[in-house]
Amino acid sequence: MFSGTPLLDKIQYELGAQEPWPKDVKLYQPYEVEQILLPDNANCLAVQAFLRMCNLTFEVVSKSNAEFMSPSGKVPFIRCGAFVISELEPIVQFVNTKGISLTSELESDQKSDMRAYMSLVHNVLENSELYLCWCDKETYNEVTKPRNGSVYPWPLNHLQTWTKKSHVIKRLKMMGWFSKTIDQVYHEVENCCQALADRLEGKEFFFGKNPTELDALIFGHLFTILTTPLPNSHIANIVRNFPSLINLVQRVEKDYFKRDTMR
Amino acid sequence: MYLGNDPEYPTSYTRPPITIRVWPGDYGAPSVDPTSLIVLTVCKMHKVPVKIVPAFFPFLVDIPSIEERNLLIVDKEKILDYVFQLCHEESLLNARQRRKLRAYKQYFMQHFGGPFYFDCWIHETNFTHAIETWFTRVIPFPFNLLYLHQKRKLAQNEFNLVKRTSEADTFMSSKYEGAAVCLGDFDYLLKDDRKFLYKNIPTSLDAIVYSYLVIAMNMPLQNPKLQQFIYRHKWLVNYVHRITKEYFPNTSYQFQYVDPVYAPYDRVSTKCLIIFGMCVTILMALYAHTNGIFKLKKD
Repeated sequence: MFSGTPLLDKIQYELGAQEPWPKDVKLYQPYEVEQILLPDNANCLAVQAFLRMCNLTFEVVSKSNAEFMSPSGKVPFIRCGAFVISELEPIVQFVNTKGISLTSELESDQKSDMRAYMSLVHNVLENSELYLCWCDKETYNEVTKPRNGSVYPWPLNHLQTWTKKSHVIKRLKMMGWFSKTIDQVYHEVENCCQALADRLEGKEFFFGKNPTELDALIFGHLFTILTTPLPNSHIANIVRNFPSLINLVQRVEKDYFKRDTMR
Repeated sequence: MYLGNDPEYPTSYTRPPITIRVWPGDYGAPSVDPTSLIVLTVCKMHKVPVKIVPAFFPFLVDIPSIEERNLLIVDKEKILDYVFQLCHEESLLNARQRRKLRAYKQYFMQHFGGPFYFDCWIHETNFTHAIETWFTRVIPFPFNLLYLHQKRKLAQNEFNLVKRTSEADTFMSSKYEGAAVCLGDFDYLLKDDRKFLYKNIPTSLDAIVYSYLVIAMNMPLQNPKLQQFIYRHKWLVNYVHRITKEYFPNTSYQFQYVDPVYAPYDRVSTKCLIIFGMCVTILMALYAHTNGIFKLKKD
């Protein structure tokens, strides 16, 4: 099925990426007010936070079919010159090829730690958000179903939601999350937050005074969990039990998002 | 084999013996299945009295599986949860250290475990040479075909699920890059050539990392990309050799059920073999009939 590295793509990517960051970079995501779901919103916010931390200019473009425009089928994605890149890690790598990095001053063991905690967040917070949106009946009926179908006409809204639900359930089954109870999911979130709070140890950011992509990723997830109105606010209450994480979220919001509105 | 017979093992250990059914070892790996090997490694590292049953038939009871009194565990996640509770030296770590350990386990599984699984079960030549041949020879016919069909289909579904709309090559290329970085990070953890990965005590992280790496290093893969990444990291390679030597000293480096990768490889397809078998049977029957060895009755 696959044969090896697509060398040509790689060379084009490396050569093209060495050009400076263009001014017309666009970040595509679903409609924030009426369509986007909790896990997608978390990922979009994480990428936005990362680009803002790198001080890179971009314009947010909302599209109802952003998911289908993305090369990997996941949102958000950016269009930067001739390149279309989706998801946080590939975007971080792409930005690195332009000589911009938030982790250049970290030690090797700090970089390992950062990647390990990013895996933890992807595995625990992302799967918990998917579980909550698609497997918790109340959240599914009151939030996920109407929001996901809002941009499609009848009967496509039902069909599209059903297809996506089936895909998410298959993914959760594969990851061993579908068989968990909601209490087990909350327990996982609590453990994950505790692990992150342990690592943060009251510092400004995870690795000192400057933010990294881990801070951006955690900001995306926690800010979304804290601010998204859901029928069951238990997950937000769990996060609220960790003041150091709340401080981090507030700091990132103040430093990288509010200054735009103040200008 | 009872590990409980080990003279080093404290006789005061009161836990009832556990029977574990695992896939046997081959080509220098104590077991060819990562989950089976994780179970074996934890039991060896923590001197848990277990009865190991190398098993070849996964249809009556799953492989791997754990049996303790009347309790039978077959689900992989539950098996791992069960054996990780046996890591009593891990209790020396505080809650904070255990949570960090968990982050590293997730990291390894996501960036190496996943790509390795796809590399074995999805990559066509790797699958045909290493996986299909091994299971075809180990599991009796026709159950081997059924088992391989089920497992391959599951792997393909999972692969399609995670790659979504990406091209298979592009997706795997990014996975290989992630695996290379991950291996570099674990190599760095062993930078002073320490015995174990974390705090120098045997933990569940060691069991996971060792199990995947020893299989990946020795499996005869036609596409050796991941193997090449591993062999670039000397501390990691030393670590794997050291663990094998200490906990699995009797491991055979012979290729029992599969040929090494440099051997001439020209396996006839199963369909051809079945057709050939049927033709031979018909010819033999005709020969026997023409020579009067048996006669068909005419009413």
